[in-house]
Amino acid sequence: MDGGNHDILIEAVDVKGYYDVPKGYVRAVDGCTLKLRQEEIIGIAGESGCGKSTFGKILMGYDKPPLRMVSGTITVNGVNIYSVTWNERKRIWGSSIAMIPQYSMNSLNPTRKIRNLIVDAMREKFRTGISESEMVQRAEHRFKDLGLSSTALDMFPFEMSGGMKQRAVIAISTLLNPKVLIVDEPTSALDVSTQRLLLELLYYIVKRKIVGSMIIISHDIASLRQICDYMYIMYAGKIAESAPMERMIEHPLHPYAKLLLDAVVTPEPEIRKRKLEGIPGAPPQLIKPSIGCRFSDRCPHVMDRCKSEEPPYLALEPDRFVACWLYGEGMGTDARRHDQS
Amino acid sequence: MSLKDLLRHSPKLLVGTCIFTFFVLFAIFGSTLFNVDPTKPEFGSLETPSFDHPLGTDILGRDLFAQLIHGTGYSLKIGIVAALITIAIGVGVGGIGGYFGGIVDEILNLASNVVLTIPTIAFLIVIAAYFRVRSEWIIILLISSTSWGGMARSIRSQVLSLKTREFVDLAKLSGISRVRILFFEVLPNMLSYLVMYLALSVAGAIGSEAGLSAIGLGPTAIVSLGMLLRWVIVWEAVRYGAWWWFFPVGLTITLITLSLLLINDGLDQVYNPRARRG
Amino acid sequence: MTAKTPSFPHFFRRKIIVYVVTFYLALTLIWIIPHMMPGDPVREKALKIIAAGSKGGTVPGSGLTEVQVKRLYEYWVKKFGLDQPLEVQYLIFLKNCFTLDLGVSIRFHPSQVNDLLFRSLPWSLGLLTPAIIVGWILGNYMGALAAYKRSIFDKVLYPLFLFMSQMPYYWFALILVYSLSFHVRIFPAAGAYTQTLTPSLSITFLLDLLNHYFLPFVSVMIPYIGGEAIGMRSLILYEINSDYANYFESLGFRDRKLLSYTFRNAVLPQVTGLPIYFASAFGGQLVTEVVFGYPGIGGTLYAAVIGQDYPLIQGGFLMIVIVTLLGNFVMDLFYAYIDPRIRVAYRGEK
Repeated sequence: MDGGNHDILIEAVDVKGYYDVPKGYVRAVDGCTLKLRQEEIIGIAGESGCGKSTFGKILMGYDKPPLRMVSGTITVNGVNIYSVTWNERKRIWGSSIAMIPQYSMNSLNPTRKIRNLIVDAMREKFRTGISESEMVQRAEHRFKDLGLSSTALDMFPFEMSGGMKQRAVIAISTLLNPKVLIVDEPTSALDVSTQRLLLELLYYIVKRKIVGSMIIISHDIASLRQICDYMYIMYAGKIAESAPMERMIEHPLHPYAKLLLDAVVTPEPEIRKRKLEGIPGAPPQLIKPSIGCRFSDRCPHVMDRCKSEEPPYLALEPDRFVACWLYGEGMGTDARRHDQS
Repeated sequence: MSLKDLLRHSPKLLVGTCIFTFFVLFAIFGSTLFNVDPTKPEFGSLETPSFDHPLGTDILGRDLFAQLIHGTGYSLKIGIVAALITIAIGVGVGGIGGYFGGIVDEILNLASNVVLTIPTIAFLIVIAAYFRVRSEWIIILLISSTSWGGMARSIRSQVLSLKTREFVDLAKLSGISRVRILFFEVLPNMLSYLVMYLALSVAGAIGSEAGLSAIGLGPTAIVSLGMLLRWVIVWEAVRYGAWWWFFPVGLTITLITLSLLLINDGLDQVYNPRARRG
Repeated sequence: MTAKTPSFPHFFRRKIIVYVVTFYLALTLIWIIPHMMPGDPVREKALKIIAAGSKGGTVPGSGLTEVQVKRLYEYWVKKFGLDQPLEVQYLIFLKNCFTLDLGVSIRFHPSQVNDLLFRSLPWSLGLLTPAIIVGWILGNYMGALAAYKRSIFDKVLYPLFLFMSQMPYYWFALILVYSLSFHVRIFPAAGAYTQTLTPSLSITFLLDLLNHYFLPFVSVMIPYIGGEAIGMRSLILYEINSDYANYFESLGFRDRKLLSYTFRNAVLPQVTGLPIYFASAFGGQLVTEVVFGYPGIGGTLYAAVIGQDYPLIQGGFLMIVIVTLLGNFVMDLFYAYIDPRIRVAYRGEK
């Protein structure tokens, strides 16, 4: 992982994406910055409702109304994705960058056989050349890679189990070996052992170069920890902290990150769950965000400044960012020495 | 969500409610503001609309505006009462069947399906034909006894899905509080659904009554909107070119049922996110 | 492992039970209610006729001669077992229904009820069928258009379609007659064909037929278009916002392909709804036929109702019930064929 610019696949700078609803604007993504490099697996973690799924959509340029990209820039493979029309973006969707949506089991057309869906997808992207039998052959090959038998091809979605459907979606999304795969909440609705298998599958996809880099969005930090290289932790539409995975686990800086990761270190799932729910208070509504730091009403280290001024998102190390007044300008090294836990 | 919020969020709901309220008020206060007897043939025959007679007169010299006021009132009354009874039967049958299950459910469900399948209009016509004198209540009972099938089926499936959810929660050993939350979350949603169905039922009942009356099988002593149309047909208003006679009546029926459908659609938009883009 | 789907035979078993029970119940109700009412109207009418017949006189207002009344009286006593206990009468009634032996009309004596009904049937079918087919195609097309295009297009069409769908058929018929027949004399106001012409396959007659056909046709079709359009529009909107539509769009599918997916899924229920609508409209076009003086089932049933012609009323109702149940059954067949879930289950059974 060298710092050369040419291998940055996605760069998002101070991105704001809002939902335009009758009640006002839901500020799901309110000024977030992100960088994705070649062969990197990034995790975006946070409680439900913090805006991470929205961020995933925005990152690939999928701002379908009422969602709207309001400000900031996102560069995908060197192209400023929001300076380009919707239809032009469709050209890179599925081929350079693809998404596996949340509740992927419901994302298949219920009245079409899997093999027809695959043929459709390939035709949409390739427009010419390949014959149908060749397409099916490629699909069978990929299915085998993903642990799906080729009989699945002739099934309708309602004939398949949830796990099979999910794998089918993964297969379809990775058909063209996209450079970037964005995976939204892959492990919710799965039991622990299936979760593990799925994570292994995702890791395998990257290692075998079926996809280039991956962004995994999840509230389940324990899962993310197993395969991600780098981690972003979001809270209420903003990024609280981001760091290489190991550094994040060893030494989280942001109080919210600390609380989250504390819970993860504990192995028993019941105690872990209780701890997560044990962060007092509730995440704020994204429609009328409060002044100052969004975490201030639940933060154990809250100071006066936090309630009136929003902390900036600063680099403490070349690879490490935090948005917290504990580490604000002028307090850099002091804060770190101060913080022993 | 308060009523004001609801109305603000859905233009359909707003428009529908306004139109419907207008007609309700029209029916209630119309006769105080415009005090003319619709049944007395005191005026000139087939007069075109004027200031004295906003909708003109019919061939017998009766004022048409007064007829419309009274007609709207009777149609609304019959429609609303019939709809309430329909819903009561539907909720009862669907609820009991869904909750108790077993053979009770089989029988009740069969009954609902049969009621749904019977050709309603034809059935109503034939039965109404046997009554020589038809009071409002007979018409109301006829309409409601043939319309509860769909509602019973929907309520039954809602109750069934509720039951399975409870079991799932019990399986998760989450205790009493979850069930209570379900109760307080589910009830408001059911309420909105009932209001939606009420709107549809009223629209249907008004339409059925109008249809029955138009062929002469409605309430014998009452001048409802349908009855007004019947007079149009019997007295051959079209032959005299008296457009002011038949046009407003049908327009009223259309607008009333239309407004109720808008209310139904609007509520659907608010409470079913998938339809929200619509 | 697979989703729970109803198996093919099981699926039909339930439906058939409903149809049998409905058929039986509808007929029973039609028979029981008048007999249970104070002053049983059927019996009263029959007794009136019998009384007149036994005295050798006529029944005022029924338009029958003395001789006809006497014959009717004898015929009725024999046919309906009027001198027998109620339970037996009921069984006789059922037997008559199943053998389609519906008796003689009172109003149109001495025509058989069967003849009257079967003569009216083609007129109703001829009016309904094209109106519904054309209306279905136009309605679904425009509903889909409004849903896909949205913007002002939709804002104008939606209220228009809603209005069209809620108009009372007969009121719209009146408007049509007024504007296109009275005000501007383009089309005739009533009847199926000009009375002075003899029915034949000549061009003149056919043109005259069409001339009389146009207004009733439009008055049935337009409200139907409104209803179909509204339905299709909301079905399409539902599909457009579904998870799979969003997912395939995020894979870069072109609008045309997405349209084909959503349209095919949305049109499914509309196709299966056709026979149902046909069946219910069949009984409901009554007033339209009356307004236009069209000699269909509706017009016949109406005349029967007005004239208290109970054999004809019962016969007409029987016919409508049969058509309705047939329509439902056809819909079930369609649905089973089109919905892959049922089809696959059936294949699995084999």
